[in-house]
Order: sequence, then structure tokens, then C-alpha cells
Amino acid sequence: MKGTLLIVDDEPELVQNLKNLFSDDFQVFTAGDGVQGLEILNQRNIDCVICDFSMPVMDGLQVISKTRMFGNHVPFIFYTAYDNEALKNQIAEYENTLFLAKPNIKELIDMTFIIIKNRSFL
Amino acid sequence: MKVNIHGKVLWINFHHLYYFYIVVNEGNLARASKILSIGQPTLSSQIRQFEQSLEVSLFDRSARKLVLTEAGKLAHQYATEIFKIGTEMATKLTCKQQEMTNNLKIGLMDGVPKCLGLDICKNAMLKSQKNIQIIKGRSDELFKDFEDHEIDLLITNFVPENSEKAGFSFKKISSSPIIICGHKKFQTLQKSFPRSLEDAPLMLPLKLSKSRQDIDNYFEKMNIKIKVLGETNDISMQKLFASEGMGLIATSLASVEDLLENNNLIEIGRLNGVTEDIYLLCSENNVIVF
Repeated sequence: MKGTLLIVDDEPELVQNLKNLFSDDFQVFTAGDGVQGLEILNQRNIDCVICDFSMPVMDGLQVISKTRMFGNHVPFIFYTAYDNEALKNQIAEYENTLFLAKPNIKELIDMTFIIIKNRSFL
Repeated sequence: MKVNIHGKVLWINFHHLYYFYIVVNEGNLARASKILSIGQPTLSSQIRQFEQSLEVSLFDRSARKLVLTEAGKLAHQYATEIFKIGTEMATKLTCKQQEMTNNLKIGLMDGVPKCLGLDICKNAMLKSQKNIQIIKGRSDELFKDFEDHEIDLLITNFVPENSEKAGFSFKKISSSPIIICGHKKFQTLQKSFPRSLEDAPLMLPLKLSKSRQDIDNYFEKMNIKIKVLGETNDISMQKLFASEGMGLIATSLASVEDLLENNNLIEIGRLNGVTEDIYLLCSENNVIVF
């Protein structure tokens, strides 16, 4: 059974590129903002989330805090160019979180594969 | 109790309300006066005072038996609720006190090696007759619970600035060296460490954490330029990153001892003078000698 990946980002081009990169190996879901992302997290059993920080409607911190509030411990990779250390620190208080700076795409691909492969250990 | 109804002040005496409640429940003054251990005339006069204070008649005194007026029925309904809640309160407070006396709740902050938490718990079990309960969680949540006295002891990797002012005492219980470790494919980096770390892929804790600041200061002092691939404070993520061979991690020896023993990771080198310190915070009521 294929692993499941959710990509939450407000840049449609990036979302499409990431979807193309991962869709051969994983079932990929996409969301343009945090609200849509949360809806998918509530409906599907997701193995890994690639999420941006700064998004319209609901930012990355709100997405992870609400996800954890519902008892969902899915790993989050925050893939972002936004370097707000205070916000990162707030997010890092939640378990299973990792920060990768854009545009390190190779590291993002490697880490996503590793996380999904080891999902049961996290 | 003073009640202000549209500018008019009424006094409700809860002793009188209780007398009224018992009289109605018992059905006559004689039995109620026995239960309340007061004389019948006194009880009768107290109930009259109660009626006067409320400016209503609670009993229909024209009847031979004890008959409640409509106001009396309503007052009895409320009295039943009030004393039911009172009983609940007393029960809960007693149970809470018993729970506080019998249980020792230990908070273990995320990021603190679990083996350390277990050592503390074993120690607590030996020195105390209490049931030990471990609560794992985020620092902000655990500190709040600790301040609210929901947690008795807290195992943490930092001490908040206001701890002494708030009446908490703390003790350093462990100090573990920070090491660089990774998959065995990085073994060649052991040679000429730490210079060999120049441009090696590293996963580090976040910049605002104390350990990251110590790590950055170390590399700056050694004039070594490092390549940070990613950041996480989550030890499980760090271990995964390292054991899968994606890169190296800088973490306390205590947190990866098991992986080093099983050869899942190898130690590349130690950052001299950089340690992760673990503290035990106690409230004044729980100064246990560990």
C-alpha cells in the first residue's frame, strides 16, 4: 500500500512540482491553505505533511496546533523560506516536527521518503 | 449571604436554610430537632426568622400537618440542589486531597532523554511510598501544570528565570557531553575532528535553544564553517535523520547511548566543553532528596 503525503502551500506552482515529484511513490493530497489542509488531515490517514509557515487564512503554527489538538501525531516537515525564529520555536514545541529551508529540494525528497518509510516508529 | 434584588437587600442565612431543608425532609419538627441537636422551640423560631428574612411564608400553618406553601416548595427545590452541590464539593475536595497525598506526578519534558526520567522515577519509588505518575509533554504545558501544582516534580533541560522567585527549587541532576554522531559511512570524519566537519551535512536543534547556541558558539570559536541541512528539537527526528545516513547530528551522549551501543550510530567526536544539563524542579512541598 502506498504511503500518503499531504502538501500544504499557497504557491500553486510549487505544490504542482512537489506533487509531480512524489506522485509515483505516494498518494499525494494537496491544499492551498491551512483550512483545506486540516480538512484533509481529518478525512485521510496521512503519513507525512509538507507544510509552509506563512499562508493565508491559517498559518503553519495554527495547522500543527489544531492537528495535535485532535490527537494526530503525523510528522510535519516545514519547508519554508520564511525565517522567523520565534515562530519556529513555537512550532518546534510540538513533537515530530522538522524544518528544511527552501530550496533544498534533494533534502526534502530524502527526508520525506525516510519519514514515510519509518512512519510506524515516529 | 447578602442578596440585592432591584435595590432591596435581603439576607439569606444558610444555617436557617439547612434547618428548613431538614424539617421538610423529616416531615416534622420533633425528628428534625433531634437530627440537628437543637430544641424544638429554637428550631421553630429560627425557621420563622428565615421566613421573615425572605418575606415569605414557607409553611401553611393553618393545616394540622406540616404543609409547604408554593414558595416553600420552590425553596425546598433550591435547597435540595444547593446541599447536593455542597455534598459534591466536599466529596471532591476530600478525594483531591487524598489523590494529592497518594500520587507523585513527575513531568518529563520533550527532549529530555527518557532513560534519565526512568532513573528519577526509580529513585522516587524507592524513597517515597507514593504512586508515581509520569506526564510527558511540551515545556510550556508542563511549566503551566507545574505552576498550577498539577505536577509535583519537573525534569527539564532548562530552568526558567523566575523559578526562585516563584518558590521553586532546582537541582542539576545530570550533565551529558554534546557529541557529533551519524551513520558509519561518515566514519572517516573521526579523523581530524572537528575540522573534518567543515561543510558536512548537519541536522541541529533550533537557533533559540540553549544547546544550539552552545553548538554555534563552539564552531565559531573553532572557526569551522558548518552546513546546516535542517533543524529540529525532536530527538526522534534527529535519530532518524542520522541513522538513515542523511547527515550528522549534534546531541547529548545520554540521548543516543542506546543507538551507539547497537552500532546504529557512531560517535564522530565530542564538542569539548559543550554539555546538555538536566534539572529537577521541585515545589516547596516536594523537596525530596534525590
